[in-house]
Amino acid sequence: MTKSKSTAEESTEAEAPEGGTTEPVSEEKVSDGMDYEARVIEPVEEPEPSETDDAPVEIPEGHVLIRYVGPADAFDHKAYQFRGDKPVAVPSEVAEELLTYPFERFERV
Amino acid sequence: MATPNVQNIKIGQGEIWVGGTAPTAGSDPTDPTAGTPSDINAAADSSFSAPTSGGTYVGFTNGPANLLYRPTFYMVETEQAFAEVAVVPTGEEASLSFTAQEITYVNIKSAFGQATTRVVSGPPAFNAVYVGSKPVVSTAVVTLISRKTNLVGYFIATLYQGYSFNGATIGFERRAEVKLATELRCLADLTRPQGDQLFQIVDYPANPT
Repeated sequence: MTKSKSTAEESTEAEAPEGGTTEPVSEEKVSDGMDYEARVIEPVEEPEPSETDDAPVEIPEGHVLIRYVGPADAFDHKAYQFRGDKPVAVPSEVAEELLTYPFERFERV
Repeated sequence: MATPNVQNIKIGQGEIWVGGTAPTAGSDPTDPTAGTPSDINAAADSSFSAPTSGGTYVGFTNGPANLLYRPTFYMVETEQAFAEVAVVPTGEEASLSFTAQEITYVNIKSAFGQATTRVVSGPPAFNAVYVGSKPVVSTAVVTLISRKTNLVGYFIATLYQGYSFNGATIGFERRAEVKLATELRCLADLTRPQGDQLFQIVDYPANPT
């Protein structure tokens, strides 16, 4: 704690230790006045995998994975919704329709 | 006496694609030519049907396609010299502006910018463009290919992150076709090296094989 030298210069801010000290510095140790304590950092447990949009797409029998690579943000074909580049499992006959769809672009994954 | 080359006089329109994937950036963050240099874009085939970066062809355009680049400098002036003695770049802007005549949902979205598109195969089939309060700015690769005057060689300009700066007006008129005036301004791509964050222009002296 230090005292302000002029009453006209009293600061309204919280007092903070200034650089240097009025106490003689020991030649044996130099301390910045802070207390440190050793901490053991526990290893972080990996979270259990949960069902998310990044989960692998399950492919039922007779289906193939198709990805929309056209310019639209979203493409809907019958009951199938293509959003971004997320692949969708569709029946083989539907895949043939999509792969030959005019003016849009699909690819097999 | 130096000999001018008439082959270097460029006349001809630009073909534009919106979308696709930008060429891979160089490995040196301070120099696009150092390390593994930045990839260059190219026409994918001899018919100039598309660039290797991909995208959707804009189609018919009207008027010039203007590629604008304008830097801003801070200039230090002194009493001892009439002109500035030092300059420091402090800003820059780049954009590609064109007028699309094919009114497709892709071109409408490119012109409006803050829009989301949806295609439904139907029945009934439709292409929808949703606009209003979209909080995210979507950017796209924008590519222009222009063949040289004698049809040997071409220029290709690739903007890495273009976004519609001014929106657009669609005019429905009995006496004239709809024209979509589009300006796609460059957003700096900070994943790319300094000096290669807005766009690239490549001069190919020969046609693709």
